[in-house]
Amino acid sequence: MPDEIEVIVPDKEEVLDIELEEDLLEANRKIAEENKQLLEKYRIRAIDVMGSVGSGKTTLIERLIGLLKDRYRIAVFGGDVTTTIDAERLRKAGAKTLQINTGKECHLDANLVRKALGKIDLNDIDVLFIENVGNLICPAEFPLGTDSRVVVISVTEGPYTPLKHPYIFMEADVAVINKIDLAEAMDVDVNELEAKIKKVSPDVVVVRTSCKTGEGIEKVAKVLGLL
Amino acid sequence: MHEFSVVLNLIEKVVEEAKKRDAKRVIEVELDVGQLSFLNPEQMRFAYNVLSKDTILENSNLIINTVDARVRCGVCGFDGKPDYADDASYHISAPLFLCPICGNPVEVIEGKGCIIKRVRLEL
Repeated sequence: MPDEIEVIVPDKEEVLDIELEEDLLEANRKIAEENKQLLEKYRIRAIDVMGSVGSGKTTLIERLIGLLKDRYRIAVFGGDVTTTIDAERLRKAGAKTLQINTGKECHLDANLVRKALGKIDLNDIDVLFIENVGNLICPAEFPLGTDSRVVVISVTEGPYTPLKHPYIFMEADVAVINKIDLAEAMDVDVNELEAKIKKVSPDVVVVRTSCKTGEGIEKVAKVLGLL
Repeated sequence: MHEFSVVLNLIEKVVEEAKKRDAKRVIEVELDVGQLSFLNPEQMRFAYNVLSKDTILENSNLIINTVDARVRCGVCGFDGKPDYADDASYHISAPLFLCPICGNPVEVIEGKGCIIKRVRLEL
């Protein structure tokens, strides 16, 4: 009998730990930065319009087009899950429109906007509104590369929206409280609502509007530097 | 549902790393997710399980660490956790971006990212 020979078997599996410091949200931010540079090159003022479903984002943009169309060449990117209803409305109002259907995504991201920017003649535009998907959560996390971000809420959503969704107000430059003509019927105190917005996001500029009557629309254009 | 797009991005990055090193499979992925990000760990796990199927990440372990929010005040120099608006009647706890000491707006220093810290590969 030969002596038992000890065999050294290589480890069955070799394990390697790689340290990464890769921010997954950074990819979007980088593309957003590229979008911003592209828009600056063509001197286009871009505004990201966010807000919940039914808060009045499309009507606000419609009103702003009505107010500004003699002064600027306006385009709108409409972000929606499926339909082109909003894009049709805004085309009638006097803007060039491009629909971005996300299919299933709940927000627009910088890459979708980059693709859309490649489909229009940037020499032909002074002001670009980007209507985000109706949602108060996800769009906040995905900057698109616009100069300003606007969040639209309405009194019909009740008095707690700013406290329930503080992040979107934190990301926004302008907060629009819409449908103030309905405040009394809804038993919502607009002063209180504004105070709540200021509590979660002290720097945001708050404008009260009624897109139905047109009240406050000029002020929105002014705070965006368009008037 | 933006957890899905973020996790898809995560899987693409890890597959790339694994390929670079000729790995047989991915054993573990460790993520740091900021408290102020909009990512829900539960939904991220679900997305990870679904999206890792038929990839080199299938059956790997996902570790999610939560990174606390940290803010800094440019006026008084406060550096620490933000205050929260705790009101039992709202059933929520919203962070306040005002300095707990002097009341001026603060800057968010930490807690907004979603960072791949470490990937463990079997070679």
